[in-house]
Amino acid sequence: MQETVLHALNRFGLGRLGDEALPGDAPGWLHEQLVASDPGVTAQTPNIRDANEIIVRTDRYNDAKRRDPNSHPENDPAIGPLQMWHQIFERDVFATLRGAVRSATPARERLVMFWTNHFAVSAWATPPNILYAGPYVREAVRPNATGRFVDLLRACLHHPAMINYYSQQDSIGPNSPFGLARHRGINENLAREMLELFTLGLNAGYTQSDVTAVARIITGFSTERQQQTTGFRFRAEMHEPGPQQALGQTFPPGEAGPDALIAFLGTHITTYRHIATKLVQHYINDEAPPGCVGRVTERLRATGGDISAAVLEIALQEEAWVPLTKLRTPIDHTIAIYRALDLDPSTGEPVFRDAIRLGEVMWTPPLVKGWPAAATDWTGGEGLLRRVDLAWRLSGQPNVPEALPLADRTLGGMLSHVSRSRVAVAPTRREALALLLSSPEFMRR
Amino acid sequence: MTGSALTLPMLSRRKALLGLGAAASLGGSSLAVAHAETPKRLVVVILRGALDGMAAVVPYGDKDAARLRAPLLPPEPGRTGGMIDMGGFFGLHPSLAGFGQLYRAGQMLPLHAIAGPARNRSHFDSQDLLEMGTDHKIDSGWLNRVAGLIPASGKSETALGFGPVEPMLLRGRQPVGTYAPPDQPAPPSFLSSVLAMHANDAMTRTALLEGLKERRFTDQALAAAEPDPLKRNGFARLARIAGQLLANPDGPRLAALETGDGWDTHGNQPNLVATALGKLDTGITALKDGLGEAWANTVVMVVTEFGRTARVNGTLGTDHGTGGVAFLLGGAVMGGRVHANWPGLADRNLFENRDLQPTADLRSLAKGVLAAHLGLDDAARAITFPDSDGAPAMTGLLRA
Repeated sequence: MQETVLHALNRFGLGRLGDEALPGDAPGWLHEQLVASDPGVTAQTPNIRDANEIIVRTDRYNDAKRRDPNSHPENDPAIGPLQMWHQIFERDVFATLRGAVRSATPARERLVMFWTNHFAVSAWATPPNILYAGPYVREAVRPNATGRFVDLLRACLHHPAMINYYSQQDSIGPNSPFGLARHRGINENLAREMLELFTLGLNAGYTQSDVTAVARIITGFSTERQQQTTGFRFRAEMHEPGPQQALGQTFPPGEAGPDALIAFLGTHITTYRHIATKLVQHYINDEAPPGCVGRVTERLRATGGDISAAVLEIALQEEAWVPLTKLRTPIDHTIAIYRALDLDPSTGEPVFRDAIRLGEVMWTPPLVKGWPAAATDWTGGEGLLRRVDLAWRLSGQPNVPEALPLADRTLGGMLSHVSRSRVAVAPTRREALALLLSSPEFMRR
Repeated sequence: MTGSALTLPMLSRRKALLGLGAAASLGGSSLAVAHAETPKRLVVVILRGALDGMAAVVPYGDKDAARLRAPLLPPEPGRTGGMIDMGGFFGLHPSLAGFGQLYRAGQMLPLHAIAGPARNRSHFDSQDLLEMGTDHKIDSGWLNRVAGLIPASGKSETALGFGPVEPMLLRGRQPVGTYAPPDQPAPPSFLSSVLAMHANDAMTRTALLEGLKERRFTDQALAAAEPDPLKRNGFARLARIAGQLLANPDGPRLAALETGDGWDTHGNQPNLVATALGKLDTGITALKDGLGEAWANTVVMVVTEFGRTARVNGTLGTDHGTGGVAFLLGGAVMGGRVHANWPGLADRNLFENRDLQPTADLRSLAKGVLAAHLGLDDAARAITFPDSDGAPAMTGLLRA
């Protein structure tokens, strides 16, 4: 029984936290986290209204400074006190990582991280995104991570972080009043990735003209900073007029168009198959077993895209209980080490910095596809050696646990005899612990 | 540095490694491979995100260029901030000053209206196929397969990737090294225990061994190197180090480098592309500096996954397209001209009435370099680029 639970803690969670009490049974542990409401992030973190308020104040400050370089606008209560944007971002991303290290609902955190990467936006895009990235995860991803896929899709596409990341507010219907007056037009950036990355997947049969039509349908998606709102605004004056033909469907003009498009894409069987494949790759194997994908796809179809039901279906698969084969991604691996050692993550900053050394920067994927997740993406020699370096460094901290009892607590019978005997004969306590954390079994989830 | 046939046992092993298809294509012919002490170096620089080829090498002599993309065109040659002229039809983007100098020295060759095998305008599919060197997905990159044809020096692997993540281009059966600027290392005794634990792990064993081997080599090679002034530009810094490592007689002969993002210019293209090209230009100059005299024996291939739309889009940018540009640079490159079978920009000549029509295949370029630079014969090139008969090797790329 305990073996199965430890297995589940690694495959579906973030590894055992210190000597936390083990749940009675693995399926119950998973089910409880997926159906319970989101415990959220406890630290003080900004929402989209706070972020926009900061942006508006910064604009006022810059305007005042332009008018009079010798003025001190920060003394104006409508402007000051000034806050540095990158510091707000850092506090936010650090607190999120601290939350993951201490989390009592790690299976839910894994899903939040999975969807954040599926619907990737980068904080390092044009400036407001550094303030939007945290609110995006909390407002669009977290509340929907275990719900219906179509709701998650809708929330992500309407969030200012997504619109700003793809500069969707600049894509203008060429025949809209604004487009005609300013001679502006569309770009296909978000439209293409909406089909390829978020929903149907590559080679799903859509054509170039579908991409262009989708780009026309989502014109008008824009952001709003001045009002105390969600930050989203549909700007009808920028929306391409007239009905649009896309994907064999006719979509109405106006905001009803994107609404219908999201409903269509978010519940399409091809979308379900695409996300089922990604979920099976995430939890089971980089090479998704077709039978599993088929059963998870069917579960999504039968439940109208219920993500929790899909994950619970994955837990029912035989393939979910074979020895762990997935290589932990750098952030995942770093979190697992902190949890195993029960290290105080401080503000969360050390976790952020350590994961960067391993190659992954939280909330700033280099490409719109998000951070790569397959083992082949992370098995460069230098990258793996840095995991070994990290294990060595953190094992040198004061008050770290003994290696063999820790091995029993976190991996149990999953640790191979070869690894166990190396850990057992290591010449120093530090080396034994670093070996355990560098073992092939600890690198897996 | 003369070609030598592989001995029979090696050939058998190679057959086993490459699989049945490759073994069949070998037939009875011997593989010509460069000797271990080949002085030739090949560097592949990937611009991930898709460089707008017509922004870097501007066909300002095509009367349709201004019609399709006037807001994207830099000033003509001779004007303030104008292009660097390359023969009256093509102009080089003004941010590519270093490229321009090499062009005038006859060591820089732009190749236009060129594309990889993909036609679906997906970044990731196109990058994959560009790096795999095929028109369908396989499990290794073409530079890895080249590495399999050139013996390693014994101190370093033949091929070296720069950055913590190994690009698809270098993945495959052949062991390759990776380099990223160093961090606090663990002690050697501990590392040998780590290797012992991973000895039976197919996923991690080889990578760890390669990582350690490369660290030993790079530590020694860089200990003597000058401290680095190029702190601000990460790519230039890495490119300088790459040049230094490649210049070492015992160093790698093949290298893969990436510039970082900035190429996917859907909006505000003139500013973004100027910045990205400036970084590329500084980086290639740093690579050349690092190489020193070895520049004479080096070919640098700069490639991107596809070009971008011929027409400017509604946000002063360009969307995903097809035909684009590649660059060949190096001491032996027969440069100082533009290699292009120019399709023209009239609407009827555009690919799907939208993109620059590709008239050359990036695999032809790579095969031409492998033949002229590394001396690989037909059979070896067929292993590197399987099923590419439709993309024959280009000739006349390098000075004899």
